[in-house]
Amino acid sequence: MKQNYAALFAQLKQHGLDPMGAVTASQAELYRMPYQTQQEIKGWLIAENFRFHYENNAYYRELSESYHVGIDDIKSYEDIIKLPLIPVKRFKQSNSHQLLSKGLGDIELESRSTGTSGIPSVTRRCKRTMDRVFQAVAGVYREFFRFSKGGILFLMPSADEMPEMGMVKALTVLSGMVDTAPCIFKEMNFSSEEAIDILESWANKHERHIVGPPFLINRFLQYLEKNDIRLHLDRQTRIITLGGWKRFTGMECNRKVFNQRCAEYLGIKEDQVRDMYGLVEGNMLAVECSKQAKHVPPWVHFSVRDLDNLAKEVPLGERGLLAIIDPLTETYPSFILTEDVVYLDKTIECACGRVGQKVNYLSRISGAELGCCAINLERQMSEKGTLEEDACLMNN
Amino acid sequence: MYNPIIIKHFTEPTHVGVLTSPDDVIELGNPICDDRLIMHLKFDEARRVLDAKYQAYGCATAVATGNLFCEYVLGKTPQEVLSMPEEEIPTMLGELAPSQRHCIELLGQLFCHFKGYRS
Repeated sequence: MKQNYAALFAQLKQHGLDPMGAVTASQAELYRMPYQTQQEIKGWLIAENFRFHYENNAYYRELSESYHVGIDDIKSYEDIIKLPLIPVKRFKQSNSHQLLSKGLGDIELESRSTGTSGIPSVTRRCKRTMDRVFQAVAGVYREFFRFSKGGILFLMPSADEMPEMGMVKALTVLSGMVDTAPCIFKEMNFSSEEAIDILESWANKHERHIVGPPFLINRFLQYLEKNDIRLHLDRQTRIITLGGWKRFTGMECNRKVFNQRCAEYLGIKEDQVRDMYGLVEGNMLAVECSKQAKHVPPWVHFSVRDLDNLAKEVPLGERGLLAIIDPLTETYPSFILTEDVVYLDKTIECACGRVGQKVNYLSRISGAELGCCAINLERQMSEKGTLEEDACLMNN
Repeated sequence: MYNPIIIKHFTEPTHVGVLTSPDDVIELGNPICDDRLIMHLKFDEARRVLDAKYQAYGCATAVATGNLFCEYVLGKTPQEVLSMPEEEIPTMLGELAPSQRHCIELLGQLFCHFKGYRS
């Protein structure tokens, strides 16, 4: 069976079609393929992508040469460990133009995320990359949420208010999949009464979903609790979170308590809460299934590195520093050493029926700034005085 | 999306860096999109800009604005810098897309800082 996909992809390319596009358009099938097949597919895509950046990016070629990695050294899944990684901090540097494998004239979109340092991490994407990102992200949403109707209440800034914020851009893609998707967060604030009114007006009309960073949905739950209001949302309701559970104060939202509160005050089951993991420098989202396992897209490789020897991967189940190896972008090499400490589930099969890597976020690496869109948003709300503390849902 | 002026100054920056003993440091930021610009200036005895370096964090247009302004002020006195008619300042950046136009304000703030040197 091995090499079948390599030959197929080479043929697709010869015929002017994009193998990456074929893969992101086949997510339902891909998530259920044997892991060995997934490895063959991602290995080919990553090797192709490496070749592209090596040939078109002087900075990355020089980096590769400094690691004695040449164009013929990355051919398949087994070679991925040799890929030179770009530290995620590099995206914050003022000479980040060196990361580009395409000219600035080809760039279509800049997205950013800002942490506690106030220095934004900016990623730039060209047309081809944007084509692929939209298809991949929309496909992931379809695969995990199956949205084609209903209503989404966004508890986060609108793309109109914060067009460049990566988290907002990624979540806003959901809005086109449903019948109505209002955003009631304006000028760094929202009214819980208005949220309740909207959700109640949708009863018997739309399946109701809530989307936003955990701390804002948390704030809505706090209001419901304080006023002893219990909503009864729908069997298909999804509470979708992105942005991390760490607060800008360094405290953390307790996921388990959050799930329980969602169940109690929104009238849903705990498994209807679905968190996602992603970062603006990446081009992917790891989305939770009904078993609350975060699935890494099959074309992406999560390489968990030994904290004492970053050249080495740790076995499944062991904690380490996450490297994201994503063949989707042509704009910059998305072979990124993050500052996130994670572990992968020991099993490749999931009870939900999907196959592949499943990631569990643990913390930021020691010394790294707290950094993500949600934390920046929370900081801005704090400065504006619209942030309300919620001691009951936080722990150290 | 990017005009040739922005492409040139972003991809071929000539003034990125810091000065070891600057005579003045300009720090500008945009709290909404988090663009940050730090500019170091050194003047000679005739109050001409002897050297100018910048560090910029944010969108490509903001980064390009830093380099363009450094290039513009080099060798000029504050009076000469400010001889640029205000209505012509935005044209220095070329034609900008709506999402890039916040950098006109950034450029305006840099010029504004030079007004302080006149007294």
